[in-house]
Amino acid sequence: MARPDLQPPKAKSVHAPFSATLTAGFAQRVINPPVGIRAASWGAAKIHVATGIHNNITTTALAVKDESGKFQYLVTVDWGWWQGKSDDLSVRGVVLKELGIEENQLQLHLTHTHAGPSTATDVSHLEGGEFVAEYHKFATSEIIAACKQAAKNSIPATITWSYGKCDLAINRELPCGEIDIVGFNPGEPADDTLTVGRVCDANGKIIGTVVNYACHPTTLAWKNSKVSPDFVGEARDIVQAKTGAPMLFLQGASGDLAPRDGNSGDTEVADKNGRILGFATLATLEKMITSGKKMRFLEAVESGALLGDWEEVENQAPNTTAAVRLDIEVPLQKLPTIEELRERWKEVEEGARETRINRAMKLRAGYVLEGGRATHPVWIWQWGDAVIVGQPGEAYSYFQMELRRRHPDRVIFVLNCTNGPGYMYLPTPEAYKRFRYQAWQTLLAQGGLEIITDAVSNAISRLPRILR
Amino acid sequence: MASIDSPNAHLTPKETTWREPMSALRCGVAQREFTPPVGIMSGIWGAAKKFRSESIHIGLFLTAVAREDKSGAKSFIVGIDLCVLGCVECAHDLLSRIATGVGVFRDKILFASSHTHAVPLPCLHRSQKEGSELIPAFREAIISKTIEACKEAESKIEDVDVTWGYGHCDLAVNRDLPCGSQEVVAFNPDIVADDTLVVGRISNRSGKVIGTIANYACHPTTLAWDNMAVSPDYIGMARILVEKATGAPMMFLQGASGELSPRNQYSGDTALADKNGTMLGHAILSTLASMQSPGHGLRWNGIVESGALLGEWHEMPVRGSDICHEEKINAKVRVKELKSIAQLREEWAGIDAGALEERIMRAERLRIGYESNAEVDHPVWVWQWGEALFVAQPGEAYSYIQMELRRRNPGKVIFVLNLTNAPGLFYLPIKSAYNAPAYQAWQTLLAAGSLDSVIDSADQAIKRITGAK
Repeated sequence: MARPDLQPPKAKSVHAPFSATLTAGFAQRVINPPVGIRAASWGAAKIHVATGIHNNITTTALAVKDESGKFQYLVTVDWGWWQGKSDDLSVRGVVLKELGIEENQLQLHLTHTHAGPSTATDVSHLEGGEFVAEYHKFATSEIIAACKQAAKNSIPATITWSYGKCDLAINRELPCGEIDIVGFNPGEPADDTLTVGRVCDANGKIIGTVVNYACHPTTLAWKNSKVSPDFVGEARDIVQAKTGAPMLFLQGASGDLAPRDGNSGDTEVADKNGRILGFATLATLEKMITSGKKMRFLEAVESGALLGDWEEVENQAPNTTAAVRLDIEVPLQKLPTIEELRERWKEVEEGARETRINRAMKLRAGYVLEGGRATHPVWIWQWGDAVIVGQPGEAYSYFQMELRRRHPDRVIFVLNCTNGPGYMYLPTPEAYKRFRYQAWQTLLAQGGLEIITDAVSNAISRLPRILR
Repeated sequence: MASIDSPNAHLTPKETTWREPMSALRCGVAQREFTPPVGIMSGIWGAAKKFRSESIHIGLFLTAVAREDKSGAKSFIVGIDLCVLGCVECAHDLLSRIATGVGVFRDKILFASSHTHAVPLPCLHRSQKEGSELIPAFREAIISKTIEACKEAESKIEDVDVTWGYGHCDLAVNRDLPCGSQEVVAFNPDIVADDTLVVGRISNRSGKVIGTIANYACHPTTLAWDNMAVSPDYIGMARILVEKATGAPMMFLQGASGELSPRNQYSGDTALADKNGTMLGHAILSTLASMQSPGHGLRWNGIVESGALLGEWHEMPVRGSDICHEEKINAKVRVKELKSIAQLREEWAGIDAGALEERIMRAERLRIGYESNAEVDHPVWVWQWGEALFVAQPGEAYSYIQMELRRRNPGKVIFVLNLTNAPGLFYLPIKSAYNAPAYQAWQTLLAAGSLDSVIDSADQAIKRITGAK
């Protein structure tokens, strides 16, 4: 027996998911490098070339049409990181040119695997380096092809956004006496936020998923010599097997986060870590409401108890898009000159010393401007209820936690290792005090992360507000 | 490959070992199917128009874990695809016969219903409608299969390592929805539900998983009055997924879900139960995947000089605690001022005749042994199995009990079980539910504040047993 007299307040009788309705398309390409290619992410490694392929290295592109009819390309590649602007532009610059798009229409993201092929353009003289230029050319052409295919595949789509949780990441800043080293710290909790987007066609069929999680892909380390997407590979395999559609993985603000089981030479450990993420992603996808629907209170029913039934009804998902690029002025640490670096590393063997100096200079090139100033670029895209925040650095999880805390009315994807320049850590003040690796790798002075966080948060506040 | 010649080799963290909560026990696991024949009276929905089941969605299972203590004495936890045991008379009869058959005292078995609402009620008094002629045989099957499973689990007892862990699952939502003058049992988007998932992985000394235990709080009410299939509800698909991945039985234990349910529910569509089960199953698999190798923890292995200064941890064999203690406590609670059956009839006079008779039947059978305003004992079993605690009681407690016990006892893995053993087969709502008023507050026989008494009693027992302050 229905009880029409019992209703929740009108404002509480509808529950709509975070969503978007946009023109969107996906494409994915396998871009495995040749065995023997330079793969040298770890200083402690004895082998610096790939001896095999653990799981596919891929690129996945998502093309979304903005309100002006132009495509925005969110592209991920199973590579590690850029050493400098010249390396970054050797790929991204070509992609931009070949697609005929402006710089701000592309967020080219690296998943940050530490078992990927070299991304550097200046290693041809090193073992395995002879394969790099040709491989980069191939990979770049496949990234371009994926972008074109994604645009071609684009159709009217409904996206459902949701947060979930995943316990893969742990804090990796371990106090050891006066300093902190990079290792599992059981004493500090880690941000477990998982952010997922499910993109469906008009029939509710999944055409792709977007997964954002913060955890250094450092399962495989110096004892591994196989090329691998690390845990991302198995997670993607699990999700794609279930959805039958490409999964686009985006590395979150993981400066201080890594898997508990890491630094391994065993690819099964990477797969195990991938299962933690893959199953957590599937659980989050499963909790989403039917694509294009929202819930509405139907009626109260007298049964053994007084029950209330909700029904799913059509939802008008927001089609708002917006794009903002910020160039945020940031404070720099006192940067040593080349001579000072030579002095600092005088005990180091000459070849290694010059490599370190070369890397230090590559990091600065194009980032440190005249007069010692620097700006940190950030790309902020709004897709309906979601905001995609991409920047080139390795921000600490503070960045994503703070943005999500300040903006609970939106679903926020936070991407490290995206575009450039600024391929450096964005650490918290504690990291500077505790002499952490991240604080001596970065060019930023203490306070840089907070300045960037505030600027991005303010920009998000200014994005079009969606009434829910 | 620690860098022993590194100038930083002396760097060491304060704690150089780490492991998850673990237990070293002697256990065995067994499972039985007890799916009844199609046509049996099934479901417990007052709003239902038909009562004879028409199909089987997924079979019904019971899973038993047997434990042997150092003296050779046995105890058992049984998780079973049942809603409730029925009236107190039928519950006592069923539990006593099982204990006798297994050969232990009743307090040595935690018999925990999963609370699926799409199964027959094993109660001879409350099951009176079409298809009830098959109920007596169903009850007998429950008893005999439980005894069989317990005996088989006992026969398989071996040394095991159990790893315990908390995870998360977003299946449950709050289901106390304010609608004008009262609360309705429906999804309330404004209140965040406890998402805690508790998982145990039982492995033998070869590292083979022989069973898993999952404890999660969410009413299995996906399937409701329009459903005519016998079903374990969402637990069915969750179990299928986990058992397929582990190759071992999964025991599900319903948590303190008095006010928690799936967001999408009250359906006649078994695919929706599967969807909800897929969510839970994948959450369990994610939590299982996050565990270290069976019988292993981590040991600091030293500094590695790489591009950064790295610290290496390696897995090492380790044994968990073998300290076990099992006891039953009685929490003192007060019965509320009970309305007479005549008063209830008058109060519910306007509702559908079927729903009215269902409510009256429930009320009559529920209050056997309880008198207005009397102080009564509410039984709670507090079992320590190594580094996990099981807190089980017969009622349908609100999630406040599990959240509060876990908050008061950080660092301990606590399984909290509703619907275990008898008597006391009613809700244990939070105080505000009495003011709302919510269904759970008028269903229960207990006065406001009873849940707090149960929590305090259980908490004191935990601290006494574990020696914590």
